[in-house]
Amino acid sequence: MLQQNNFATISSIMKLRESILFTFLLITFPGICQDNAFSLLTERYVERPLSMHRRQLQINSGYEFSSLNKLYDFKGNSLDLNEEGIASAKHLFPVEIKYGILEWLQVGASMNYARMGLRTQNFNFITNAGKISHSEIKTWTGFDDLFLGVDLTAPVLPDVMNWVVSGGIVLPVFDHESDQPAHKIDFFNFYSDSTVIQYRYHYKFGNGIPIANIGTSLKFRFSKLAIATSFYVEKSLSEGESIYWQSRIAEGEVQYQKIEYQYDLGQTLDYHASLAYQAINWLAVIFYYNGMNSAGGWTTETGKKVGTGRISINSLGVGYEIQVSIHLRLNQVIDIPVSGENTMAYWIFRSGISLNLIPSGN
Amino acid sequence: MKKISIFIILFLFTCMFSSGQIEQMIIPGDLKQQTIITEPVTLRKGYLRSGVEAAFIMVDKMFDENGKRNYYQNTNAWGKLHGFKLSTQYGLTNKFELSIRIPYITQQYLYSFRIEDVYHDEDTLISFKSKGNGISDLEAGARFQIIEETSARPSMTAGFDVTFPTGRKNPSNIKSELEYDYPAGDGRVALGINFDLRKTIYPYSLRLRSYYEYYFKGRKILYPGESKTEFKDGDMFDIRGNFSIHLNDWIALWNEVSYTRYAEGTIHYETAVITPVKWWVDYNPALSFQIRRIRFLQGVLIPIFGKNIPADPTYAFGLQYTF
Repeated sequence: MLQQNNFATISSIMKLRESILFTFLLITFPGICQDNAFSLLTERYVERPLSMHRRQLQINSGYEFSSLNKLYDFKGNSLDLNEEGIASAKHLFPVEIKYGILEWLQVGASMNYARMGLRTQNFNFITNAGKISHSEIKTWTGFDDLFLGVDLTAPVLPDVMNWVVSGGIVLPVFDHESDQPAHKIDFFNFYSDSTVIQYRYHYKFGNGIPIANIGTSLKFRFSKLAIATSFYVEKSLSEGESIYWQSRIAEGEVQYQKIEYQYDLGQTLDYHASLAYQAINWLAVIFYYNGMNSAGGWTTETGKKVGTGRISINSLGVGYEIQVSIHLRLNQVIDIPVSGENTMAYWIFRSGISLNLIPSGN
Repeated sequence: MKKISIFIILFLFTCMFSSGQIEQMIIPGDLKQQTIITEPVTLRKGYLRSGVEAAFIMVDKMFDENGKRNYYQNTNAWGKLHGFKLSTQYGLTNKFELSIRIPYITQQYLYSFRIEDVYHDEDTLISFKSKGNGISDLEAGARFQIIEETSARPSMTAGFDVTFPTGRKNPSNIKSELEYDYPAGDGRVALGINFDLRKTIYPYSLRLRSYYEYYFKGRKILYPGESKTEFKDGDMFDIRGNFSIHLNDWIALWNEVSYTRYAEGTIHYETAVITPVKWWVDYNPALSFQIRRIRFLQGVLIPIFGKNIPADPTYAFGLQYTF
């Protein structure tokens, strides 16, 4: 019995020592990586950790152009864009701020401003009341939701590996409800009865509900190469409410009515892998794989609760990063979709700048 | 003693600057590695610069007659255009430069609509895919430095360009009014003159450029099914203000704002139709990477305001080598 108590005491002491050792490692870990600001800011891409150094402030921005490239059906078949009659382009301006509180603790915030248009098939109906031509344009404009995140670096083999655990929340700070449509109707009765209807919908990018985000990233660092992978899971924290607009023609004018509906975004799994090659000290070439799977979403927009179905997309990309000056980095990526299900897939061309600051004497 | 100290300091300063001059003179290879900011406005004698420029534009929106940015015809019609230009410049003297540009374009336009005949319960999909590939109109020109840049005054350059109608000017392979091979050329001769002022205050440069182009009368088939008709495009005037800065020794950021205006043109002279005035204001940020004698350029032309012209950004890339 006494021996058992002794073992329990020894075990407690061992656990306590392990805890102290772990805490000691966490505290001393920043000291292991600290160097002067210049060498930290000019680290080669393959050597750089996934998160910020202590007291490092990073501001990222740029421009992203996306053009509709493919359309995937529920079975993953690629459809002919021209036959489907869909055209779409998107212009996006991201803003991201990251700050390293400690060598192993980083906080960050990000948000995007974007403009997107989507034009769908034109229809001509031939009826006994004449010809009706119908076209539809949907536009999205504005900011999306604010992302706030925390990254923790695990002190495991810091010389060759960088392991980061991330958590965050996406907050709906801007209005997410669509604006009143601006449909246009023209009647032409001179030669033949004909009506031209242009449906114009104006949406916003916000999701309207808070979304939790958790994930992990791993980077293996070699002298000229770096391999990185990451997984993130997103899940909405509540059901959302929004509106859609019904319209009808009365006395030659369009009248609109706001209808409320509920929705749930379900859960999304994002996964990425990249292989970076440090061609020159200031130039790294990076090959990417990006994947996304989404399921469990539903909406009552049709009056009944209808699932949005499983959505997936896989794309491959290639890009580079240049260390322009001590504080400035430039990066560009082209990303092309290769497979997907139940989604529209865009090819993306992204140009980014990254401003990095560390107080001297860090 | 004080005088001697001043003399020594002045001598050291002179040595510092003169050594830079000597280096420039004895290593001509370095001169071929100068950036868009540090190089002279025309190529040096005997230098040859060759390269390829590419541009991509997705035809999606346009500025209408009221200057409002809108989708093309409010339909789902859209297109994409790639332009490539093989360019060569040669420095005949230190102040006189000749250039030639051979453009090649590929373009594709898509449009589809569905007809539902309620009486006969018929549903028909009609879709058009039109393209237009080929060598476009060849351009040749010359530029001359009237005033060389000094520390006190900017350089002034004047030049001219001639465009020859080498590209196919008529629609071909006509299947319908909407489906045919678009012409790759404009079918007329153009003559342009340009003036250029530049001042470099390292690491910055300021530039003001202006260009005027006159289009001679031409004759071509304007639309499928029509016969050949005379036409005359409205003259073009363009003015550009540029501010560039070195981000480091070999990367320069280029910022340019331009105003371009096309005057009224005339088509179908038998029953003359006047084409409207077109104008726009662009902002063009670009990056120029100078890696030894290789220069890589990339930028985007962003239309800000305009009337009767496309409103989509143009993405441009260029790769040049100085021999």
